[in-house]
Amino acid sequence: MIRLEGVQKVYEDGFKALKNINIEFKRGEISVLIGPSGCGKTTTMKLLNRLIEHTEGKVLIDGKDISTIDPIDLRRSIGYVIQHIGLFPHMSIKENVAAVPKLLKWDTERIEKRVTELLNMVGLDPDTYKDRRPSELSGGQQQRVGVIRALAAEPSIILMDEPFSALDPISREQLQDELVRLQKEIQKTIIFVTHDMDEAIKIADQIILMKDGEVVQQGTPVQILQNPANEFVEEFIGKERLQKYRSMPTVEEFMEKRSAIVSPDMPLPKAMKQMEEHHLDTMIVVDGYRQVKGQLSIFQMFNNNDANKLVVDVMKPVKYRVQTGTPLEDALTLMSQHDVHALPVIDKKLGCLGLITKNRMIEGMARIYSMPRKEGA
Amino acid sequence: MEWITDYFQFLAERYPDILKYTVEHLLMSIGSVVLGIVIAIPLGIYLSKTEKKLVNSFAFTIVNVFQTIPTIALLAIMIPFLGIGLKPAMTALFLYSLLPLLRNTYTGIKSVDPKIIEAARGMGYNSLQQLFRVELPLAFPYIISGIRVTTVYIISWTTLAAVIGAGGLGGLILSGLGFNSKPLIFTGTIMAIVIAVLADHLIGRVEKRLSYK
Ligand SMILES: Nc1ncnc2c1ncn2[C@@H]1O[C@H](COP(=O)(O)OP(=O)(O)O)[C@@H](O)[C@H]1O
Ligand SMILES: [Mg+2]
Repeated sequence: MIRLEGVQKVYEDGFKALKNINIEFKRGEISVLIGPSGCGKTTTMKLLNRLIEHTEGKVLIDGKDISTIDPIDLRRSIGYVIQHIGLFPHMSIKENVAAVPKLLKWDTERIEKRVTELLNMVGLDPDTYKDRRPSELSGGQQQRVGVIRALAAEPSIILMDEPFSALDPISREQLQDELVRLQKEIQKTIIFVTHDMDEAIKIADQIILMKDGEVVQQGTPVQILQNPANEFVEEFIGKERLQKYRSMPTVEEFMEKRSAIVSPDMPLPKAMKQMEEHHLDTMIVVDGYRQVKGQLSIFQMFNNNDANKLVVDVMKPVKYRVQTGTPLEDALTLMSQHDVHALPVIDKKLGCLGLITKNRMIEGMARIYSMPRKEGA
Repeated sequence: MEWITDYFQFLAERYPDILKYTVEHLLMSIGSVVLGIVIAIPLGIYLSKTEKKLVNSFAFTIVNVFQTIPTIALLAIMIPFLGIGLKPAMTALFLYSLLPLLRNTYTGIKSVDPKIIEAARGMGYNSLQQLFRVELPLAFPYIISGIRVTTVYIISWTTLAAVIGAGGLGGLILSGLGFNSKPLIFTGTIMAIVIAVLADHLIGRVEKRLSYK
């Protein structure tokens, strides 16, 4: 985990680029720094590998103040991808990818193995590409190499400064998709700078929106899209995108309400009957205060077919949940990401309102997409 | 056709001398260029890195001044300080080699894309690794072409060194003038051209071999 506490940056010319920044980048998440040009995204990012030194406050990585770490060691332990594909033109693809492992004095066999593995990971055939020069690759291929070069020495943190912005739209989307797919495998702490809201929405676990050296809003893409903190955020997101997002179906339109809710002290047979009646395979256990206590699947019921037991005896804890207002598509993404079939729907004020299941969602989506779309969206 | 047989006879008689003058010439020019490389390349690297603008313009002004002094004049100026012979001649030639070597090294390093430098720094190259593994290889085409150009014209200017008694192929030409011997003048000139062309070709091959595409 990375934490910035009261961080300020005043450049040599007296310009105050960062004013009291407090952010947390969570482990294993993609945090996106976004904002208009000149708002301090790159400055913030470069503080983390000490390419820029902050003038006030603290930067902590896993609780350790980075000003106590040797910058060279620090940088070798953090992956770094820059905007204009900073591949070394005089080195082969293999040498480029092997750069940091070589600095770290890995033996050649280990380097060779790692390079092959990484090239395969992004769909570049090692035998075809490893001896080529960067200039012999397309822009998209070059930036794939840029990304795996950052991964080479297995850093847990990766910094990416507008890595895809110089690419054509098709390669850009491909690389975004690949990054999301890759991240599921590698689970790195990624700090990603962009000025492209679509890109941020697509890849971010957390978005940090900046303006004039300050953080304006911070949250998941859904949170920010649903509750833009102020006019600036609304403007930055764009009226059109906001509109589109608001007109998208949300989870509560398709959720099971009371039918999918049982209380912890309900006897199992009764819960089972309710399940059958409503053709459900999962139910959500909610207490009198509308707090989620757990969930109950049809398999747990069969395995514990005991008339004397209560729901509370067999229920399982709930790991993931969605908030009201979450678009169907996002909920579906969450489900496939974590391989779950149902998610409780939580309202910030009212508590648990119901349950959204994969089956019901797919039905709903099918119904929407088979209809003529509303405003040409 | 008689002059050809005459010329071959001349070559047969004088070849030890011709060889001696040629070797002298070669050593003198290569020596000056190598000396130039040893001084100018590190200096060029330093100048490309230093943030002291004053040091920079001072150094470039000095080497520029040497460059503008006519060759024969520079050789002459050397005499009161270093007398005659090899020492003043090589000193003068060395001073001439400085500017192109310095300028090309400086430009080469300065021409490296700052984005690439940033990538290297961000990945954890320390400054020496950055210099030797990134900047110098990328500046190499500039540096080697500086060496090539310098070598060729120093070989040609070395013929003037004989004026202050340093020998070399210029010596052959001067004695040709003294004895009114066309073959001597001719041989001296041709040999100087041959060496220059060969050097140009040789360094050109190194350049091709070692420069990245
Ligand atoms: N070395 C520097 N000296 C002075 N000002 C700088 C320097 N680097 C960046 N800035 C200024 O700091 C602000 C933030 O820059 P940056 O972090 O690069 O913005 P961005 O959000 O576009 O990445 C800009 O106004 C920029 O002009
Ligand atoms: Mg930037």
